[in-house]
Amino acid sequence: MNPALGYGFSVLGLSASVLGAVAGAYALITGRLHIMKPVRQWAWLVFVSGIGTFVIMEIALFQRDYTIAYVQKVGSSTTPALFNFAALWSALEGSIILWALLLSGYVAAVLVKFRDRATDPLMGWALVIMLAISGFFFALMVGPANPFLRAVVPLGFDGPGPNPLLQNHILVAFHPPMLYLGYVGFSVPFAFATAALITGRVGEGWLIETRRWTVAAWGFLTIGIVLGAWWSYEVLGWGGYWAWDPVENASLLPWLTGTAYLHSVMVQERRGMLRVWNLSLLCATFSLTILGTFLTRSGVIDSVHAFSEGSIGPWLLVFFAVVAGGSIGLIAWRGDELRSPGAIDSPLSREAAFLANNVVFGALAFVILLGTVFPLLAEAWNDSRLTIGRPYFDSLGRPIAFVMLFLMASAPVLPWRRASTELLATRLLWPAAAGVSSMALAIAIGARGLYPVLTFGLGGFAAGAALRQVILATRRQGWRGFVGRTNGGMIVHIGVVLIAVGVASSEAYKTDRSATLLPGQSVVVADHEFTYLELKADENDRRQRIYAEVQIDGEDIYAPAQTRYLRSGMVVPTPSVRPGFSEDLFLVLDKTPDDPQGPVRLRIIVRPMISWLWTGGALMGIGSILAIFPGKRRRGTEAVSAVLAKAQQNSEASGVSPADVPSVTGASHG
Amino acid sequence: MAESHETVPHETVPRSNATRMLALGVGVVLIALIGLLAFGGNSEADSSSRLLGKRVPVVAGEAMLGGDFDIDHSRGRWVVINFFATWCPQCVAEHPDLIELDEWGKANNSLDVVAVVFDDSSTNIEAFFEQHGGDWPVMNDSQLSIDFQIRAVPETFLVDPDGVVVVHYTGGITAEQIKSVIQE
Amino acid sequence: MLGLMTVFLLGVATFGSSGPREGDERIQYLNTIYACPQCDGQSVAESNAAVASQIRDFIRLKVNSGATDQQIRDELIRAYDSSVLLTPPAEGVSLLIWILPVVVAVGGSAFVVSILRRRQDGLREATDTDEELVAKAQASVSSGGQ
Repeated sequence: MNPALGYGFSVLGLSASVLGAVAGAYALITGRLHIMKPVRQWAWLVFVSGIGTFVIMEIALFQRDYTIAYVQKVGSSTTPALFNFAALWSALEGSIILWALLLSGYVAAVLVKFRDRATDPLMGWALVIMLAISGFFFALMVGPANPFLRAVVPLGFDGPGPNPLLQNHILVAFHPPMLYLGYVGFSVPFAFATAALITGRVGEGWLIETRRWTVAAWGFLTIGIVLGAWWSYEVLGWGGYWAWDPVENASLLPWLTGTAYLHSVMVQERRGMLRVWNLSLLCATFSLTILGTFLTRSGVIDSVHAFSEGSIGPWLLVFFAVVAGGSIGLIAWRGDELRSPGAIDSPLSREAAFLANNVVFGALAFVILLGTVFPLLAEAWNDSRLTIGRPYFDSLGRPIAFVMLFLMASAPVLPWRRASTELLATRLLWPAAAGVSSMALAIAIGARGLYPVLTFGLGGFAAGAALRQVILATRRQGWRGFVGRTNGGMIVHIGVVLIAVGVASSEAYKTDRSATLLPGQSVVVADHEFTYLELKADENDRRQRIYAEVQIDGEDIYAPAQTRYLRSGMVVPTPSVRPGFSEDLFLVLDKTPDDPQGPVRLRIIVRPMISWLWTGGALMGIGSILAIFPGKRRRGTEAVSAVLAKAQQNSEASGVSPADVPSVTGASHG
Repeated sequence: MAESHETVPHETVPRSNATRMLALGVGVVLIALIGLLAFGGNSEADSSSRLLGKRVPVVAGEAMLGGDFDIDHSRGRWVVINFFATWCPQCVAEHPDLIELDEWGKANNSLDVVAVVFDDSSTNIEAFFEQHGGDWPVMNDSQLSIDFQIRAVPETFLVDPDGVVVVHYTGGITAEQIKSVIQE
Repeated sequence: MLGLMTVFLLGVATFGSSGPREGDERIQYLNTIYACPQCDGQSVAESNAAVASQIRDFIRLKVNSGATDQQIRDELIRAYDSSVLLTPPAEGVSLLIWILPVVVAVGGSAFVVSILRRRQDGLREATDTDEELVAKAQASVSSGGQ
């Protein structure tokens, strides 16, 4: 029953997507716009199919319906409900279901949001593009990655359950959906950007339509990445949160181009410039989400968390080629229309800072992409196998991060168009003082080393600039000073600063020790005393756990464990963490003896301020939500630039200097 | 149609061309990338040991449970070099076969067994041999695991009477496997 | 004033930390630059795999017996080939991973400079479509956003 229903929904989703996309394209090309109405109904069917496949698979997982091959692979009678629910996305076929569900959800949201504009060609093309994308994912479900494939059930069969690493922490239920909401969410602005290119309406209209969609997708992606880092930290047991692993890099790439876009789009909204660049960034962001899916799903690059490899690599690669190649072709085709009307007046201006921001984000994305795929290039070139890891990414990423922090500090105080150095000096005084004081404070409490202290300084500087904006805005507008894109953006900036400070101190002042201890023995690491009390074991029908009771500073007892999952036979370490505002104590049970009285080997890692990362991530999420709420209404003319830029150029020509136009220089700072 | 409104100074290159050129450049890079991803990355690492057919690296020094060992003194006899750890289930599983081999080798003076500890503590090793039996030299020297290019345990090397590495086993071994090679 | 303090503080930060790496610090550093051969790009410092632990022991042994960094590196490469290096040696095709980022950074900066210089280029008239979009967007913004 379930396999047939599920497969039926997949086929329905595929048919509705393809029919909708084809009919929509036909309607739009031939101008028979009345056809768009049935197309919307097809789109609703896609939504129904997305929900249908997801619900059927969840039902099958909860019923332990082993007539479905996928349930045989990831289901088990002993998996607790939460992890059983999350088992849906614990392997390849199921993660395609999740992708299709979210995509069809975005399709529905677009339908509702733009319900009054069924016959608008821009809207129509956007819908066609989204249906084409969902057609691809439903095609995967119908063909090469069919999650509802039937299987013969051996007598008394019970499955292995999901990969042990995906059933021992609650974050598994949140990290993948958040990440996917981000990945898939970028399909909305991508669809509108492509629609703008197709219709030739490449002005600022589509940008403003999709502004909040982009911020939302970016916020989800941000939270997804931070939760992923947190999951790594809590589960993988090596005491770190980011390994520069291809899967991690694949999630960071669209985040970087997406972040660049969020900034440069403001230049286009205000000044009508950078049209090609913004379109390219959006297309790159969406293409990179597909490329990332390919890298993590095809097995072309080894990764520590390749949980869901499969045979859909070639399909994803072709899709990536179509998306990226198609966007490039469209941009080249519309090259004429994309000439922007504005020009940048001064390097000391917000728009110039945003340009610099884009170069920096682009450079970092390039470095990460290069480092990720270069081993393949070297292998193809002369068959050499090489590894590119943390030292490479750190050494190039660090200077780039410093420039980012510096820009983060200076851009928010810069006015649009042109600033005088005096103005800049006045506005930067307090942020700079904050930066210098944080360095002084750090040194006073014993921090040393150029990189961390520089991070604290630039972090204080950037946080000062962000706080200045928020304080000025709240003083002027009350609680409204927290909402809107600029103010929400500043909250995001503060989150980034917390993360930067957390990364710098948890890396630079980390202590990592291995200790082999007999019961009753102690070891002192980073001023904490760790006493190994005894080795214990417990067992339920799902797993056996051997854990070492370790008392920290004579107080609380922590229990790092080795957990053996009975169904799969895999043993995974389960670290035990004492989190804290100023430092985390991280315990891993590394080696257990045969004889319970024998020595255990513990790995003890002390990382200062690592909790700032998660706090910073939460703040970035909150900031994104605040940025979605409408802020204080701007003067209407400032939202759109094509005309504005012209008008201003005229006023400039007639002898009024831009600095004299208060509506421009003072717009966001009062 | 946008062109008709242009007031571009005539010395500037029309930017639409620049856009096209850039798009072309990016397109070429993209095709290269796709080609790389489509055809690259499928070769498996060569897992056969580079020691095969070569002279065995030096294995000499103080053994853990007393006594010395020097592989040069085993010239004329076969040597089984077994990398193991007590935390490794496969190593525990193959231990009886090593005992069998060791006794067989001692009986006809044709084979020596030597074990090398891989990431384990001496307390565990002593307890292990006490519990499971076995009487051969056990070396604890991380230099050896580098010299023999060990990636995971158990790994076992069979060295012929001339001191040349002839077989490399990854994973557990049986006494029969080794004996059949020797008797060939 | 603030600038001077910055220089002073960064100076303290830099020279307050110890000079060339020695002893444990050197061992820790060496652990971070070699890849664990079994774990897809994690360093031996980070990894919990047994082979990583064994290589850590090896590095400690070598450092304590007075080996140079180069000797340790040679031995590890001999055992696990050059993929044991987390940063490929800057030679041959691997030079590209250092050259290309510089090219991109310089190219990107040049692009920005060229945009900054393009101040006085002619302006494009807004097309009718643009005007229409502007009107619509303004309408949507002034009606309180979406």
